[in-house]
Order: sequence, then structure tokens, then C-alpha cells
Amino acid sequence: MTADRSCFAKVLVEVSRVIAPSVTGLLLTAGACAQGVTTPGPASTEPKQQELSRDATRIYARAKASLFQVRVLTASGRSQATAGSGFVVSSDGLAITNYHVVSKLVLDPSRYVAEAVSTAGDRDDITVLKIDVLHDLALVRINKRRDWPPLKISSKVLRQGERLYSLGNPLDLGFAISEGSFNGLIARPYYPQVLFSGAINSGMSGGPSVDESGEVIGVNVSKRLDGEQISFLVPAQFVMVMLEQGKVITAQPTQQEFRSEIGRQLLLHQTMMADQLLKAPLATRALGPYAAPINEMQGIRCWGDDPSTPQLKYYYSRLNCRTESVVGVEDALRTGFINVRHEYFATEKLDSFRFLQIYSKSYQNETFGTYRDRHRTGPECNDAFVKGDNVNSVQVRAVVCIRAMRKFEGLYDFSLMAATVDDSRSGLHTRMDAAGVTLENGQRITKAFLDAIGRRP
Amino acid sequence: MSESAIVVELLDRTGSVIARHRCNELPVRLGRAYDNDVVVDDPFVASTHVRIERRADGALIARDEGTRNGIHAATRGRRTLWQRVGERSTEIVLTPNTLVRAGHSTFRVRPIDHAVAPERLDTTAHAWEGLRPALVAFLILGLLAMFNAWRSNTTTQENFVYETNVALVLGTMVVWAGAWALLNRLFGGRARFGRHFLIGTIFLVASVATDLAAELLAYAFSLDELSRFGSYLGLGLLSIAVHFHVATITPLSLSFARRFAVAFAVLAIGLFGMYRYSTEHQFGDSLYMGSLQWPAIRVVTPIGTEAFVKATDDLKARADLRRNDNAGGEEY
Repeated sequence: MTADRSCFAKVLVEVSRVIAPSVTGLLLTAGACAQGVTTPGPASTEPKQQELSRDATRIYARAKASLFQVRVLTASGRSQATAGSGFVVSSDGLAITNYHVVSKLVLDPSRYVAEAVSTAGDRDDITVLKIDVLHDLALVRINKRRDWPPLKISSKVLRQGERLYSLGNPLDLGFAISEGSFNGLIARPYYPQVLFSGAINSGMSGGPSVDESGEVIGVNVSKRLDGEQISFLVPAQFVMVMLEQGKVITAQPTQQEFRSEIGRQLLLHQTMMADQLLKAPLATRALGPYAAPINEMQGIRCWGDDPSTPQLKYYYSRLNCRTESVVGVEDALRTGFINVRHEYFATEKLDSFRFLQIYSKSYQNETFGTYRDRHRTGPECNDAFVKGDNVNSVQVRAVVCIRAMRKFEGLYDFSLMAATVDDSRSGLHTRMDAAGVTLENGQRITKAFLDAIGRRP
Repeated sequence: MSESAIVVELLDRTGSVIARHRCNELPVRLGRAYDNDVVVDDPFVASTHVRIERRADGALIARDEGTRNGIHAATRGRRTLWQRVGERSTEIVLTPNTLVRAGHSTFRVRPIDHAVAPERLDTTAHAWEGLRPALVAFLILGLLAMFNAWRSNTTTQENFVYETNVALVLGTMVVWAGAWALLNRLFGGRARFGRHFLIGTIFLVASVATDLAAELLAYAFSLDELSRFGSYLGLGLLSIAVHFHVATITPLSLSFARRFAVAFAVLAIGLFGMYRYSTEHQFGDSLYMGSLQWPAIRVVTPIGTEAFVKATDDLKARADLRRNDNAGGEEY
């Protein structure tokens, strides 16, 4: 299941679609993500938690001088737009936070500025030097020189169950430390994360999680809204890479430079994603007599669903699959994913006339977005009767729509909707969305799916 | 005597004759007093208002008898609804189509040998009024509603889908025909509800049939436009229905019904297209052909996947052109 960053409201909805029972929980928490924090509260210097272990007291005392709150403010009125956390990693004021904490500033530097608020309450302007959209990291510099003791980045390998302490400023309430345990790296295809069994709340994004010795194990990034104390950290190794690459940068890149950097990273991501998906012919799952293409290997998770009731005169089941990683460029722009939905329809009780009505209705009932989208153009579509190249391929009616990403040249959202048309009383619908891919990869993926839709041998 | 006999026709505001007076001898006097040859009940008309006589040169004229409001020559084009009133004059030369306005009244004078239009062929089915067309329509609607209900009934649950469908379809048609009957009563003098009910029903059946036929055709030959522009086809059919409704109201002026229906079609289709474009940036009902039919009726051969995905090159080019349009709202 997706371990999405909790701070992009859009995905909350997406996740909630997949796991319906916890919808309320998801939505309740949704309001409290980093961007949503607007309550101005005095920055307390004392941790809020009541019952801290002695270790936690010691660790907080040691780390608090390196810890700060990141506030992104509107340039015009200096009112708070987002709030997160960060920590200093070099004595000359280089610091780490999450990309999503400073994404507004990165995408629109003319309208936003950012400041660091130390645990002592000092405010200094910060500039963003380098971003890593894929791992959700940002390297920033605190402009005014102060006595910042850097936190040490750990290169240790922890054992499962070791204690971790997560620091930050949850919900803009004041600095806090929360205790939890290290539960290993979760196997995600491209961007591994540390599973932290402890509380991370929005506003703590970008803050450090340290071990008993006070060394940084990871950067707080997200939590699962449908679970308890299931949180995620960006592993320290990526912080090191970022620091290594970014310490030579002296000035904040321009908006254009940031944008092309994001474009470059998105391009990199989609290449990995497409290559991973297509390195072998697509595997198929059985849905009735049909073969529904999907590679449920690394990085793609599927859920089946069979909502048919005995009262229904036709049978209906579906299979939803999606890549686990989604790249969040900003709140409303999440890209770099593949979603696949197969729906199987069949009937014995209904005549073909009425079956085809239902079958058509489901096929018609697809949306491909509107031209009003700030991030993508309106859909441009083609449809035809198509037959795949494989031996088992069956004829489908298919429509393919593509939308260009407005800000990132050369990247497109591909949508394919196909319906098998070889029988009048059963059929398979396949909807595939590949977001943020090049034309070439979009075509490759679309073709692979169309070829693989078939009848089981 | 007979060659000088005239008919004075009093007209209403719309140009229809409300009264005719045959006068065998000239001059003819017209006014509010009872001693006139033609008595007009109009407070703006003098006791003796107009005198119709033959001038020395033989022309038939209307002469003002020295009144406060005077007389005016008015003209009415064959197709204009409104009179154009001329300057006040004391003497108006009368042709068979000259309108004279005195006070609020309008009249014209025609010699009794004025040629009338030839007898028109009566194509009205007089037996098809009232209950008979209504009953037939009722029957057809019932069948249509049953068909619709059957079409959408895909569960084994006990429900009242047939009853509700019949009630819904009948109710909608009663409202539709009722509105037309009201207009008919207003402009045609009688309601003709049964007729309008039948016309509406035939239109409904035709649109359902056209819809089905368009879907089958579109599927067989992969004509996605036929499927995507179905709403426009429907509006065209609706305009035809409007033509028949208006013709029922004004059976004497079929050309008016025709012009009205054409205007309706242009307006409806134009406005609908504009609305579609403003909301979706495209004119069609959907982006692709949506109906899936029996494999056996498919005529076209499928294309290969290679060719299909290759065609997205064009889509890309189109999308690229749109990348920087302002429709996407503010640009960072």
C-alpha cells in the first residue's frame, strides 16, 4: 500500500479511495498536514510531552540547539503559508528539511520567503540551495551566522526495535520530541524509507529522527493516516548525498533553474518507473476468461474487489493496482505514478442487449481531466478498434488521451481506456494511467498493456 | 350599383378581420354615432369620423370629417406584425390593401369584386383531434416506458421500475403537451391537447430510435463523431417536433412554423455548442465513442497497437500547443 507523504492533501483522497473503511480517519487528519497549519502559536522552548524517558530528556537537551522550525511566508504580508521543521548539519548554517515544506518557495520564489525559528525563538531568513523531489529533501542555508551546533549524520546500521527520537514542531504548537522504534527500511522500489513506529505529526516534517547517541538516522517525512504510529523517515544516506552535492552551491537557484531541476528529476523517475515496468513482458492476472495485464512486482500493489450481489443479474469484479511511489511536486501536482484498473463484467441471466447497455455505460463513464487544470493541458484523445500483437490478444475498443504537463516540458499524462469487444455477454475493461512520462515511455506502456489484454490460454 | 358596392373591414391589432360591412352605395360614413353606415365602438373616434367617397377623378378616398384625432394611412407588410402609421392627412386614397387608422380603430375598404385567394386544400385530419390522438399517444408512451424500464432492469430485486417509468414518462409528456396546448389556446383559440400529446410522443419515440440507430452505426463503422455528437442530432429532432407543434397552433401559416423551427434549431444548436465549448473546450458530448455493441455487427477491421500508439504523436503535438494557453489559470 502506498506510503504517501501525509502532507499532500490530494493523496489523502486517493488513499481513502483504496481503503474505504478508514475514510473518516483519513479526512480528519488531512486538515492537519504541514500546509494546513496556520494557527499562530508561541514557539515554546520546552517539549510538550509529559512523560518522557530520561533518555528523551537528554536527547532533546542535546539536539535543541540544532533544531528549528521552518516557516514559509508570503513575501508581501509575511503571513505563514506552511510550517515544518529542519535541523542544522554544518556549523556554517547548512540545514536539511523536506522538499514539501519549502515547495511553495521553490516553485514561486517571487511570492514566498522562508525563515527559520530556533528553539530559542530567534528568526533568520533562509535560502533553499538544493532540492530532491524524489526523496523529499531540501538543503537550505540559514543566512545569518549564529552558533549552530550541527547534528551528526549517522552511517550506522540499526537493529529492529532500537529506540529512535523524532524531533520537530508538531502542528505549530511548540517544539516536541516523540519516542518510537526503528523498524527497518521498507522495501520500496526506488526510494526506500525508514519505518518508524512512533508519532510524527504534520509540522514535524523535515525534523530529524535521532538514535540514542543523538545521531540522525532519518528525516521525518510522513505518516500513514489509516494507521497508528506508522511513520516514515527519509534514510540518512540520502541526506549525506544531498549535503555532498549541495555544499558547493552558494546562492538560491532561480525559479527557472529550480523548475528545470524538478523536470530533470521527474524525467529520471519516469525512466526508472517505465524500465522497471517493462523490463519483462507484462504478467497477467485472470479475470474470468480474460487475462488482465499487470506486473505486481516491485513497486506496484493491487487490491481485488468483488462487489457483485446475488440480486444483480450480472457479475462484476475489479482489480485496482498502483505504483507505491508518487512524486509530490506540490499540493495539487502529484505525478510519476501508474494506476491500473481492470473490471470484469459477465452475465448468464441477462440478454446481450441489456448486458451491452451496462457494459457501454461503464466504458463511457470515464473522465480524463479538464483544460482548466493549472498543471496539465486538457486531454487530447484518439479512439479506435485495436487488436494486440500477442497470440492471446483480443480485439478491444480503446481510447488513449494525453495531457501535457504545463510546467515540465516533455512530460505527459497518458490515459488508456480499453474494453474487450469479442463477446456480447462478457468483457474486460482496462483503465491505465501513466502520469508524468515522456511520449516514448507513454507509448511503450500503452502498447504493452494493449498487447497483453487477451484471453487466457 | 353593384360595381360601386364596397366592403368595409374592421381589423384588430394583429390584422385579422373582426367585422365586415357591405355598403351598396357611396358615400359611406364611419363613426361612433348610430346614424353612420359603419358604427365603430371606439371612444377615440368622432361621432362622424370618416367619409368614404369617390373623388372627381374616380379614385376611392377616405376623408377626415374634421375630427380631433384625424385619420392616418397605415401600412402592414405581408409578414410584419406591426402597423406602420403614416402622417395625419385629410384625404387618403384607398387601395384594397390600404389601412386607415381612425382613433384606435383600423379599417380597410375593398370593392366587392376584389379577388380572393383560391380555395386551399384541407389536409387537416379533423377526426384526429381530442381523445383519439391522446389515446394512441398514451399507448405508445406506455410501450416506450415499458421498454425503457426493461432496458434498465438488471437486478432481480422487487422494485417498481415499470410503474415508476410509466408514470415518469407520462407525466413529463403531459407537462410538455400541456405547455403547447396553453400556447395553442392563447394564439390559436383552442387547446388541441390530444394533438400536441401525440406530436410529443412521436418525437420521443423518434429520438429513442435515432439514438439506438446512431449507436449501432457508429459502432459498426467506428464513426465516433456519430456517437459523440448525439446531442446535436437530438436538438435537430427537437426542432422538427417544434415545427409540428407550432404548425398545429397556426395551421393557416405553415411558413411561420417552418421559420420558427429553423430559428429554434439554429439558436438551440448554437447555444448548446457554445456552452459545451466554454465548459469543455470541445463541442462533442464526450471525448470518445462510448457505445459497445454486438461483435457481429462490427464492419471495420481493427488497427494494430503499433499504429494506435503511434497516432499519439499527433495528440502530443496538439497538447504541446496548449501548454502555455491561459486556460489553465494563473501561470507561475
